[in-house]
Amino acid sequence: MSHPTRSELFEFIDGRLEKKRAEEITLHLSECAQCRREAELERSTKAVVQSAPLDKVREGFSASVMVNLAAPAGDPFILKLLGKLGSVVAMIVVLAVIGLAVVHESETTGQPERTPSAITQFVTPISDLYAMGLDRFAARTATISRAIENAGSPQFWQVLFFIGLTAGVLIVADRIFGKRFLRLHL
Amino acid sequence: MESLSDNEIINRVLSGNTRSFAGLVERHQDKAMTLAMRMLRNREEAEDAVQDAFVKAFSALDKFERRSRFSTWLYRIVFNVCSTALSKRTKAQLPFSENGEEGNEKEIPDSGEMPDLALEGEEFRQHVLDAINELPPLYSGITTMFYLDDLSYEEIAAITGSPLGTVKAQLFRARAMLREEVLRRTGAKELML
Repeated sequence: MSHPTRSELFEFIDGRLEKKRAEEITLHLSECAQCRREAELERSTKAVVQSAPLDKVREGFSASVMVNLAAPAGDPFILKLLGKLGSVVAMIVVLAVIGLAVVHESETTGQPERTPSAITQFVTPISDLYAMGLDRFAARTATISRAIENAGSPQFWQVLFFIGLTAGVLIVADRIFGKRFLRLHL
Repeated sequence: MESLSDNEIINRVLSGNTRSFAGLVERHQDKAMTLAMRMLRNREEAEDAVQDAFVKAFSALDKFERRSRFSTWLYRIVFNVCSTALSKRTKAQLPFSENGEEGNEKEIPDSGEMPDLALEGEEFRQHVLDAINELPPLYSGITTMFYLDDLSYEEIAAITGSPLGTVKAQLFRARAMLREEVLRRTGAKELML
C-alpha cells in the first residue's frame, strides 16, 4: 500500500482510525522504515507531553481563590424550596406577615381606627435617621431592642414584621433581578 | 474530600457548603495552571487567569449541566479567560478562523535514509517541551488539552467554541508544527518535510 497521510498517522497513533484502515497501516509500518520512524517520533512526542510535570500554582492558591469568591453558587436555599413560583410565594408570605402584624396590633390595642399604618411605623426608624438625627434613631433602636426582649408584646410583633418585610423584599428582589442579596445557604 | 467525585463536591457546594469548592480548586488547579501557562507563558498572568476562571466557575456552578466532566467545563472557562488575555496582546493571537487544511492529506513522502533519532532521554524530552512553547499560544492550548487530558476532538470543539472540522485542522497543524520544531531542535532536518 502507499504511505498513509500524516493525518491518518496521527489518528492511527491516537487509536481513532477505523479498524480496517488501522490494520492496513500496521502492516505498512512493518514494511516501511520511513513511516515507522514518523510514527515513533509522534508517539515519543506525545508521551513526553503527556508525562510532563504539571505547572504548579503558588502555595496557598486555593485559599486565595476562596477569599475571592464573591457570590454563592446557586439560588438561595429558601428560593430552591419555593421552586419556580418562588416570587409569588414569597410575595404571599410577605403580604401575610403584613396582614397578621396589622391585625395583631389592632386586636391588641382594640382601637383599629387609631392604629397607625404599620408601614409608617416601621419606616419611621429609618426616616428618623435622616429627619431627626442620630439621637432619635438611637432611641428608636433602643425601643426595638426592648421590644425584642419583651417577646409577645405589640412591639415584638412589629419588629418581627419589620424583619419579615425586609427579608421578603430581599428575596423577591433576588428572584426578580438575579442578584445575590441573601446568603441563605442553610 | 479526596474520595468524593467532582459531582458530589458540586452537590455539596450547591447545597450551601461553599467551602467544599476548595476541594475542586485543589484537584484541578495544576492542570488549569498548565493550560494557562502554555497559552500565556507568564506565571503571574497565568495564575491570575486560573484564579479568575475558578471564581467564574463558582459563580456559574448552578449552570453547569454536567453533560461533560467538570474539568472539561473548567478548561473552557480557563481557555476563554486566557483567550481574552491574549486578545489584548496585539501579536500573540492566532485567529481561529484559519482552517489550516492544507497538508492533511499529503502522503508521507520517501526521504531516503533517515538519521537515528534519540527519541528517549532528557535531551529529547527537553526539546519537546521547549518546542511546545514555541507553538502559537492557542495551538499550544489545544495541544495541551488534547494530550494532557486525552480530550476528544468534540470536547475540544466544545471548549474552544469552534466547529469540529476547524478543531481537527488546528490540531493537525499544531502537531505538524510541533514535529517540525522538535526536528529542528534535534537537528534532524532530513525528516523535515
